[in-house]
Amino acid sequence: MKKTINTSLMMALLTVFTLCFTACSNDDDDKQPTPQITLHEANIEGDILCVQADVVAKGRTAAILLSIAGQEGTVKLTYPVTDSKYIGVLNIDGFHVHVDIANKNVEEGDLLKMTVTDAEGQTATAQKSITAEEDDDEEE
Amino acid sequence: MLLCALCACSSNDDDEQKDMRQPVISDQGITANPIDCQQYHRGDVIPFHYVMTDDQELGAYNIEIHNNFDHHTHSTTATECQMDAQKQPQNPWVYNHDFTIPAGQRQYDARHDIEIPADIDPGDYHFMVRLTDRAGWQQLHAVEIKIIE
Repeated sequence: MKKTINTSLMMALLTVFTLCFTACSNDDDDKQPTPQITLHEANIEGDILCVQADVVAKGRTAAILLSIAGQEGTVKLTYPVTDSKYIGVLNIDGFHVHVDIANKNVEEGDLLKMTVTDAEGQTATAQKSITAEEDDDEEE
Repeated sequence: MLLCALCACSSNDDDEQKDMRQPVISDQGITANPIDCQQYHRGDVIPFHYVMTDDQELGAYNIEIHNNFDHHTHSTTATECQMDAQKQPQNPWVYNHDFTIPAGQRQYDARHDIEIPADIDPGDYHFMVRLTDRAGWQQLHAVEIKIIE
């Protein structure tokens, strides 16, 4: 009889512990959402391509790569962004990079791809058709 | 034992305060500098001064100055300054420096004297401050200035 009571008590305690530890599970296995990229501008200005974007990376930015491909798909240029202000952050408001495109034959209609990888290895890519410089002075 | 288990539960990771707010770049209690539409001569010094705060812990900041000869925007202010005509850069000023804030700070008085090179293109420039807290949240403060001869 005493053995039965002890066994029941042990089972009850085991159940309580199981429930407690289940409730105590931390967020370690919660995967962050993949990075979000909003590409605002990819504009040719002379020998540079002006790229502007906003990024949200809840897993922190670990790597940013810009690549430019021709309309037939040939990659003309890749440009890893290594500025410390853009790496290891949760958000980038007003990402702004000038890519040297001198002698790279980059032209209007080419495709800019921006790839952001977070610290968890998750990758997102946004793309935008490259535009050519506008001259606002003609309007004034 | 049951009490111990419950105590263990009450100290789980969810209860740790997570930093969910961006840090703040402000002029609280100071005369901040530079501000929109200020003009500086080539060879002058820009006496940078802003207050940086965060609800948990500050991390680092970056100051970047680049030309705005193409009239692009960064949209952190509603102020509109009188701009020169668009032009192609010949020898534009490019300034890009990272600064670390000592650990454990929630408020930091950031001051630097930034010398303007005497041989750069005059014109419209963006003065950009990016403040990042220890958690990784970043705040951008963009100011429009003009460099004159």
